[in-house]
Amino acid sequence: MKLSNKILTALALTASVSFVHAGAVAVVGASSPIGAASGSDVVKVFLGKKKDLGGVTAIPVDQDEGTPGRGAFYSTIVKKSEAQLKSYWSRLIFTGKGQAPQVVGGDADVKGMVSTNPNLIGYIDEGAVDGTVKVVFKP
Amino acid sequence: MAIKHLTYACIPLIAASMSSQAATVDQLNRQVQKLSQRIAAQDQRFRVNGFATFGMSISDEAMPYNDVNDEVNFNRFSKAGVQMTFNMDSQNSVVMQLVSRGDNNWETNAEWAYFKHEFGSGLTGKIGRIRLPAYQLSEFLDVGYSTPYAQVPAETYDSLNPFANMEGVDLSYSMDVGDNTATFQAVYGRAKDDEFDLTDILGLSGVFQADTWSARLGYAVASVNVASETLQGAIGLYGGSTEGIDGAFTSLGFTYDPGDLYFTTEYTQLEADGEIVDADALYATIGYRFGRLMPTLTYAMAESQDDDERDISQITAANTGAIALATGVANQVAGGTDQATAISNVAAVTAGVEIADVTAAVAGAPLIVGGVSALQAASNRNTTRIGLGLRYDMSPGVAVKVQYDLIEVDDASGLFDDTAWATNDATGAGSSNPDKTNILTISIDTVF
Repeated sequence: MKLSNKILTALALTASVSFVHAGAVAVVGASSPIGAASGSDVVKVFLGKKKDLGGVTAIPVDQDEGTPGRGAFYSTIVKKSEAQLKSYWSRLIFTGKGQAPQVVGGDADVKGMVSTNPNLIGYIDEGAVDGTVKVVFKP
Repeated sequence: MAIKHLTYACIPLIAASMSSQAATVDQLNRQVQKLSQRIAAQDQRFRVNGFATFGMSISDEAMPYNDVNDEVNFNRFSKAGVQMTFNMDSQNSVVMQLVSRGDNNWETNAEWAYFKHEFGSGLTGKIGRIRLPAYQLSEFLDVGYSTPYAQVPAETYDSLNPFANMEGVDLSYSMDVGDNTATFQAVYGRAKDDEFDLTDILGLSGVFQADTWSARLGYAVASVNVASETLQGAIGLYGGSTEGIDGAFTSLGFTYDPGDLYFTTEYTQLEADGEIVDADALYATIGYRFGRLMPTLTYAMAESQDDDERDISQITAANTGAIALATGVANQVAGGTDQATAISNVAAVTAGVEIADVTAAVAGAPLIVGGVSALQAASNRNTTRIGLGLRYDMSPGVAVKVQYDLIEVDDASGLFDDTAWATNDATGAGSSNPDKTNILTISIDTVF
């Protein structure tokens, strides 16, 4: 009985963990005019190579370094390590060609930001999606 | 019992106060959001970014190569810089970059200071003090973190002073080509360092940036004026021009960076009329990322193409004559004649030459030979470099690099100290000039 309880708990934990780390999705505010976007366009917006999505100005907001959302987004969608990313931005920043996206915090902060500004685009864990945001890209 | 009743009675009260609290929290949340947006906007208006490299270098050779010899040097490649960007609005900004260099006694210079305007549709204009965009790495050469090197291949990057900044204008146009980006840049202006004053610089470049690779072609022409008096004197020995010389520079670069593998190469060609060096240079680096570790292998070479133009046979007839007279005197002195008699003997057998002329030639000949040696040492190069590097990304924004370079020169000073080299040459001790040096460089590169 005790053992099966433990197993159940372990299973539940595993399930919840895999649910929490379902992966990063790109989101905009629920009322944003930005519609569904391709993965490559989302990547371009976050690398400063593209400034709009479907004609609507798109300003990327980043999560803090070290957040699981940021790790998932850059490793699976942008496919760059943190060091490669830093190196990439340092080349643009110090040639005056661009600035890395604003860093705003974690999933909750990104939701807070994008839901108040229709031009912002962020990424959050899929499990954190709620009514305040809409998903524009899911890998 | 009474307490229980009281408790029940309180519930609606608490509920009411909770909902009013919720409203307050909501309001506060909105205020915080507004505030954070304002802070973000302010942050976008004024940005400060920094970079720094701190390192040491040492070689196994007493004669300095690229300013590194067998005494440990903490300054050669060390530097720190800050870049400030003031965005007036979405179209106009001012950028200032202040850099302190170890090999310049850590003096701080405004390396860049320009006004930038975005015309829209990918067209950008700059005016002010900007980096001369000669090389593939020119614009981020100071930002060691953005390159795999502890020291960049100097055989290529020394052809033009890579840290030269120009005052002028820059027009850039960037366009999407499918998923790729093409950027065209045109600059016009003037650049000056201790040796040269380049006027009417016209530079053009095109960069094609694909997802995993980029290619760059750069071409620049300028009117070259020799600013250094020593160099003016040396060129004068050949009767050469020191002003308004036509110079041209070409750079062809390619980088392949799909993820773990890294490859980059650049070929450059420098051409200038007359005695000023024409040189070809090339480097190629291959690396592989094993997580945070990236070992690299670099091959570099540089070869001057016009050594014959600086050969001693090319000096003016008057200088050739002076050396002939001095040689005649030296031969007689070697045969046991005293110098005064030797001088008058040489004057007596040479038509149209007085004793005073021979005396002047004896005094002047070493200077002529010295000047020729100096120009050759400063210009001639025939160098190869094999570099082994290791980059360790300690944490995002901090990289530690170790680099070991094996450099060989063949009968030309390359980047060995040209004064020391020329002194050996001019005093007949040319055979004691080194033909190789091994350099160890360790650095910490950061961006912040």
